[in-house]
Amino acid sequence: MATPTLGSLELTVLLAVVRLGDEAHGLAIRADVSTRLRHDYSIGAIYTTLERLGTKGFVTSRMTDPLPVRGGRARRQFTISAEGQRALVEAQRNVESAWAGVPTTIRPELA
Amino acid sequence: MIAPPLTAERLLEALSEQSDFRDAVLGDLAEEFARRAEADGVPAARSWYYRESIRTVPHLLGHWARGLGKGDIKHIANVVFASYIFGAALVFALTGVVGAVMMALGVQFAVAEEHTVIPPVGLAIVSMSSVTGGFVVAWLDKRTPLISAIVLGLVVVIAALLMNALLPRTPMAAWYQITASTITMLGTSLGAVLYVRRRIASTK
Repeated sequence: MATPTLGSLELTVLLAVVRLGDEAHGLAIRADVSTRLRHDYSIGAIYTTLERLGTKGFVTSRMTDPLPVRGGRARRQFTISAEGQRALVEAQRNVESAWAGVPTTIRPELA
Repeated sequence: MIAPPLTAERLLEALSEQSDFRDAVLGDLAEEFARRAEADGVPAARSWYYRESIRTVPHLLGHWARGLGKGDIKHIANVVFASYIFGAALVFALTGVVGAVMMALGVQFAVAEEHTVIPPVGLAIVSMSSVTGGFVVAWLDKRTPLISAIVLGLVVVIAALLMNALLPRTPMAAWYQITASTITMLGTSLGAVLYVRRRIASTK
């Protein structure tokens, strides 16, 4: 069966999960993605994307102990799965393949 | 620790069933609210919380809808039906009482566009019954009270428009239908909000 593909927000969120490691929870992921994409994503949008990534099998999550600062609610920590790592590698390969042969006038950093 | 606005938080809870998704979203909102309240002050944090809550609503609704099973649909249909019957009975009762009072006062009980009651009186009855219906449906559906209230409002509006179009009687004026439909949608939601606020007050 073919690996499900990644949308652009899914890719950025998945990369944030990898980058943040043990600190990969909703607020940190939102801050990371919003800074990198220069767009103020809502908390709901980030969790919807994380849920989609979970459905595709690219991330797993676990709940921490309840925290008073969250009104007694637990944090949800995310971790990339082996399937998610494969999807990231494939996404990068696809991007590189798509950029191959593009003149350096369009992509000056390669000049 | 400064807690986020309780009513807004409870209304968000009323839009979606308890789940890891909802708890994670509400927990993040609460955590970010506390951070902003410390850094920028409570009024700014509250303003952020309300804005972010509105942006979160479609995602909570989407998550709830994706997880909707046959049992959930049946449950909502049951509570909406029960509340609809209750609201319809209330409308008939109020119309009867108003009619009796008007007849006793010698006021003509038929008005412009041959509508059954004087428009302001009719709209007052619609307001009262929709707020009460919204309250009742929220009381019956403690899992997703606000969603059931919105569904009830839609059902009432659609049923009223269908009856008006299909039944062989004098049609209601368009402005009256639009106003009554708007009042119904707002009224049922307000009824649910009042129920949620009452529940907050009783748990304090």
